[in-house]
Amino acid sequence: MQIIRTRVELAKNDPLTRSSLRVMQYEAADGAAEITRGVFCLCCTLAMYAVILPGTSMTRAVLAWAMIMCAFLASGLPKAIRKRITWPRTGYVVPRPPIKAWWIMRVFMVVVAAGISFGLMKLTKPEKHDAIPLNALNSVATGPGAISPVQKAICAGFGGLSALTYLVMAAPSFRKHPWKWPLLALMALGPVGITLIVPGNFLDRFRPVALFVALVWLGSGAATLYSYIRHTPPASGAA
Amino acid sequence: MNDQLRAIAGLDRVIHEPGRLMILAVLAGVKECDYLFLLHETEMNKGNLSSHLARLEEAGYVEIEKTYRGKVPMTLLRLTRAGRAAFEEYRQGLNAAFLRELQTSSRGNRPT
Repeated sequence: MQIIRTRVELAKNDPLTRSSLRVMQYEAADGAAEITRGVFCLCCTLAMYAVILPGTSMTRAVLAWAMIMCAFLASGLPKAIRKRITWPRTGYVVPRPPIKAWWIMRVFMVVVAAGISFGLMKLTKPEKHDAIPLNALNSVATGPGAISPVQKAICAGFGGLSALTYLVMAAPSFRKHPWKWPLLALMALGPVGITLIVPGNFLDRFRPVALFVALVWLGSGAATLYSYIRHTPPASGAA
Repeated sequence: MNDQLRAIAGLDRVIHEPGRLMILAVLAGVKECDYLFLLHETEMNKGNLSSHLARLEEAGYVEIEKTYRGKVPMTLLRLTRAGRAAFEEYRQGLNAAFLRELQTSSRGNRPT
């Protein structure tokens, strides 16, 4: 029994494991990943808001596409932030992928994301093939307060999903920044409140939920970055 | 010489030095990093770090690449395949020595 305990203890205190964890902490130290996630969410939300703006449909479409393009361009943000802020202060590092076949994991994630998107699309699409009560159905699907329990659950569950992502991404910095715990709760529960308070159909409720989540990501990332800059002065002449 | 001492005496001496062990432990967790990151993580002074890195490079455990990021010089460091294997072997050897010691002591303390 003692040997098993010691084996576990040795594995826990293994320098290899600990150094990998330290690199993960380093990745979360500057808040760049959180800011990027926030900008991505914000751009997607603005694209959803762009389609309800007054103006011609062409203008709205262009605006929405511009926002979607900005969302994709946000993927270059962590490198830009780290190049200017993190690397000159605490050095450049590329973490080791946790598994050898990292690309398999990426493909799997893309497939899961596509599946979820397809499922959401199917669930939130108003019925079009039912010819007889079309007008009545459309008015129910798009009218104020028209939202099915499944759609309501998706809207509220988006917060839970975001909170889970936040927990995974920012977990290494939770010990250093305990104020992230209330933010985590806010991210999980805020969308539930918004879903219950805001009237309207699915998109009317989902837009503020997405905006709220984006702002929490951005706020958390900005605060982490501010704290990082305050506590780490630029290094002098170490090459 | 008993088994535990033999196991400890058989450990790689290049890695066994605390400074170099620390460097390898940091490098084992990354794909590559620069000198500043290692300096920050190990909290050594520049002289010590440079001499340990030179020793590890000489042993073929660490690859050092001098490059530039824009106009700023940068020293990139990464563990070689041999370095990773040696570190892994060292780690397993040390763990095995501790376990063997524990097994022996628990056998010795067993009431007869």
